[in-house]
Amino acid sequence: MLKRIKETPWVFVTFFILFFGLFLIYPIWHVVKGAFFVEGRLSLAFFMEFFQNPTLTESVIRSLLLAVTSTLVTIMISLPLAYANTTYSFKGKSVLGSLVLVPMIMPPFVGAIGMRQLFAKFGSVNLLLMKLGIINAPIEWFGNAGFWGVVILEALHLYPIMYLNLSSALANVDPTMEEAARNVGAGGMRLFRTITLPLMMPGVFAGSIIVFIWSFTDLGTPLMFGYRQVAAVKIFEIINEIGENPMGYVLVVIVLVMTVVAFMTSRLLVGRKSFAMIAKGTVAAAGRRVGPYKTLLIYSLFGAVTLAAMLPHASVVLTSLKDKWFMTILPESYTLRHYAEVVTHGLTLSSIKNSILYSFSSSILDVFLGIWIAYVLVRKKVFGAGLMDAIAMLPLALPGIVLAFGYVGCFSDWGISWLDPRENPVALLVIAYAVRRLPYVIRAAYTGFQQLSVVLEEASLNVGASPLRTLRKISIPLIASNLIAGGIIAFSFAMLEVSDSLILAFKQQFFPITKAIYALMFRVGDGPSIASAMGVWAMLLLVITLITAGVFIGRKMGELFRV
Amino acid sequence: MKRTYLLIALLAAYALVLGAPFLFRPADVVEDADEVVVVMSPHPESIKYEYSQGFKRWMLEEHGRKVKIEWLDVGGTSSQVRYITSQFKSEPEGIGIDVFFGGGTDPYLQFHKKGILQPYRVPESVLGQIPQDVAGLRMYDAAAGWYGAAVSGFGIISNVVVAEHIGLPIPQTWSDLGEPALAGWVSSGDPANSGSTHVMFEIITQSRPWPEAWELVARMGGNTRYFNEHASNVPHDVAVGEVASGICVDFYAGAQIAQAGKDKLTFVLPKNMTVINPDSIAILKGAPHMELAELFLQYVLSEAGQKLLFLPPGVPGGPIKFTLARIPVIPRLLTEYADESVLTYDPYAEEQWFHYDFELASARWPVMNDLWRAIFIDHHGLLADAWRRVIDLGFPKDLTAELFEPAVAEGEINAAAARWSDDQLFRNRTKNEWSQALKERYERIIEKADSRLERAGR
Repeated sequence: MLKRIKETPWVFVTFFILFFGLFLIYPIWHVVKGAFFVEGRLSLAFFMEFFQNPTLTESVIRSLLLAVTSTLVTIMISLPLAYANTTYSFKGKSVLGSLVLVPMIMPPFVGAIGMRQLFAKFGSVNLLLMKLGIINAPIEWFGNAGFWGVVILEALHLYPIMYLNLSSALANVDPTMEEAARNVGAGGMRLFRTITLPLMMPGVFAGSIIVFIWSFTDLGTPLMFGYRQVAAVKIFEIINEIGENPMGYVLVVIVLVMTVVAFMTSRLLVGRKSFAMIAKGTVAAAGRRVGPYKTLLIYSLFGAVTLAAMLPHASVVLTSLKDKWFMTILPESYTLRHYAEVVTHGLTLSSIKNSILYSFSSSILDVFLGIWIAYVLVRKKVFGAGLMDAIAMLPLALPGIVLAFGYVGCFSDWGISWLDPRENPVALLVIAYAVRRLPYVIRAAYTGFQQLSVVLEEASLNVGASPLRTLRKISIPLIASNLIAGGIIAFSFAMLEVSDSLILAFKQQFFPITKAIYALMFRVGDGPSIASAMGVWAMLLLVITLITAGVFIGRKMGELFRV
Repeated sequence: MKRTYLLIALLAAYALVLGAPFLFRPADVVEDADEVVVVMSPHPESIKYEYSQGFKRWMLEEHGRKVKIEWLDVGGTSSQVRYITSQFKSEPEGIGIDVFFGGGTDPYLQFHKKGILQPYRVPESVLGQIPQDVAGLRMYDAAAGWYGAAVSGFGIISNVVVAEHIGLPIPQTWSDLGEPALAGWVSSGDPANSGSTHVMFEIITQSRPWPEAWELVARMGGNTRYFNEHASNVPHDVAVGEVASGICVDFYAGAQIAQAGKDKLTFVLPKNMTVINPDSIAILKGAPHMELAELFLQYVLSEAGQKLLFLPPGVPGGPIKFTLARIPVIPRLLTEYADESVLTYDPYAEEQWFHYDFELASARWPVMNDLWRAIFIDHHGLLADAWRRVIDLGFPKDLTAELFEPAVAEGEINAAAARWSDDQLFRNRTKNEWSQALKERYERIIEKADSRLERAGR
């Protein structure tokens, strides 16, 4: 029976090569070709030029620094939260657990304009502090350098991802291990350091690599705070000359190589640090009850982080409701006018419909592909598994704008209307969303399979169940929390996808919400308010989505969100 | 049981959130159209909306045809220009786009030079209304195929309340924006990404000798708080009190002032420096819907199309929803509708004009982008730091001279323009040299200034 596992799954390999070949490798090749071929000839001239250009090399170094710092800060924020919420039991625990996810419901650029009003020199925060007599002169919040401003915003936006990964890993830590350790006298920090932390390392690495690569290639946040000397912004500055200036391709290739290396390193570390636990899901951790002081401490921890992380959201709500707001702490008067605009405006309506369609299709595609790929890569000894994994994960390392431009570049002249974004971008948008978010779902499924001892599957196979039946009856139910978490991340991020949408959705009738918000944001006058009203609508939808997921997971696994 | 209720509640919530926008949807949003015209435009949503509605109505009334406009959008003016140029390189016979609308005049001069405009002469009845040139400035080139469709004025928007609060003067000229008192209080767009910002920096550069232009541009760069990706953020920065003043086109300022009030924000066209720039329109080569594209141009340039620009919403012949606050290309309309117009100025009545050299601006457009990036965007933090130290030290002659000395001669720029887009290796190398030299310069000044400040015991 075990022999079956080692057979090469040809259907999988064929599909894999076709799908990723067409929608990932080919567009990237199109981009890479541009870096190495100058006027049709192989040439390294632009690479040489890159390394002699301190503005560009420093931008890469600065991005690296930014990404490392953001990752560390994110771990620092989310580790105590995840640990407290998984290990301890206290009143209001489920509410706190879901609060953590709140920042995920909005991409930072939506809050940009509101945040700039809150933190302007004569913005709400300074006006409040001056009124209270705490300061005399306005503070420059994000400074001229802007490094820490960007780090803090990245961390506040990305810590839920880390939290999800850490909680997921913690929830999968077999409580009997900790019990065993406690039985032999280990407790407190020692238990955490020697048992819990090592067991959750796969989660730490999984979360870190996502946060690292995200902040390494994030465009919106540095752009909105004027911290422009980073690789992503440099790429963005050159990208529109893609037909003319190969330097953009060169920079993209260098960023790609770095993210791929970072990813491989993390894979190596996860591989070395993984421990399989047999008694998966059979013993639920009850969570230790804690006293009032510790509860208070936990409350203030969650409270402080959530408050800080929700400032951009608060600013969006205020902007959507403002009537007159000129240099006062809060708006002088309020109105619902902008919400009326959302429901009567052709652009906003069609974009809402489009976003739901695109995101739903792409997340279904992601969950299906995610299970398949993770299962084969973890459980079967396929030749070239490492390479396939690297390919499926590559989108993490790929700024959306590059993939999107690759799509435009290579499919536009095929003469197939559903592959030509200028004719009809629906298929490409769904595929782009799916490809770009697939790594999250694979990661989630992957971590699940990794922590799920293969012994359980082998037992099923040994008593005669087919691999598919085993997958359906044993593996998927046991890693469902991971899959749902992955699926929700895929859906939410697709709803909030910015870069693919900006490039691929040419025609207004195909605009998703983010592009409609983006277009409205730059309409001087009431544009930001209408955009914010749409943002509030999207937030509501995502809140319900997260609660729904919580209801299902809470019942089945009880360990992931504890909603 | 509890879970069942929860699920029902959730379903209801879904229905409410998903359904709400569609429940209230008005019937007239969707309209069947038999024909489309594909327009790429960096214009804001408000202009697109009004011209969509206006064109639909005009076509139905004048020609009995049901049409609609399909708007394409890949970013700001520069992004769209680069996109179109790049697409024509791979598909020289046509790129599936009928019309390019907005983005100033320079893109059209570039397109014409590259041979990607479709020459089209609008009927005399329409053309006769538009002056061929204003103060030596060409408003259209019928042979090339581009026409000014609205006119932009360039100036400075200021926050009166902030200026009063911190005791700043309200800048009246471009040079005022370089005053040390405004350090950290100015906002600007990124000239390499925003066409209107580019034109304003080009006006500043053309209006004085090269060394003075370099100095002013560097001073303004040192004073600037943000170089915004989108020029439309500038009036917002000013309105929320992040900065005191910003460089801005008239219609962005107009829309922001309409919201905040004339007592709080103010807009000036710098004295003796009035420049208007036709915001043009043209048909692109290989337009798939040529006849409709021609009709769209006729409509935009006609009296019906022009009245949308400056009339308030709701008046007969005016826009439906938005105050566009733009200057029309038919001068007589401004006097004819003086009572109803939302504009407080009539540039056609202006006597002092600055003669802006469009040919020069267009020829060196990409070179200037790279130069400005080197001067004040690549090392914005360093420039601001160096400038602040020079201010703190009371403008020592040597450091001030070093900070503002042109690192590149104007002749070099104009000579480089010819090679810029054809020789990418040369371009990247040169741009890198500029950027590197200026970085070292700013660092050197900071270092020298710091040691002096230290010696002075500060």
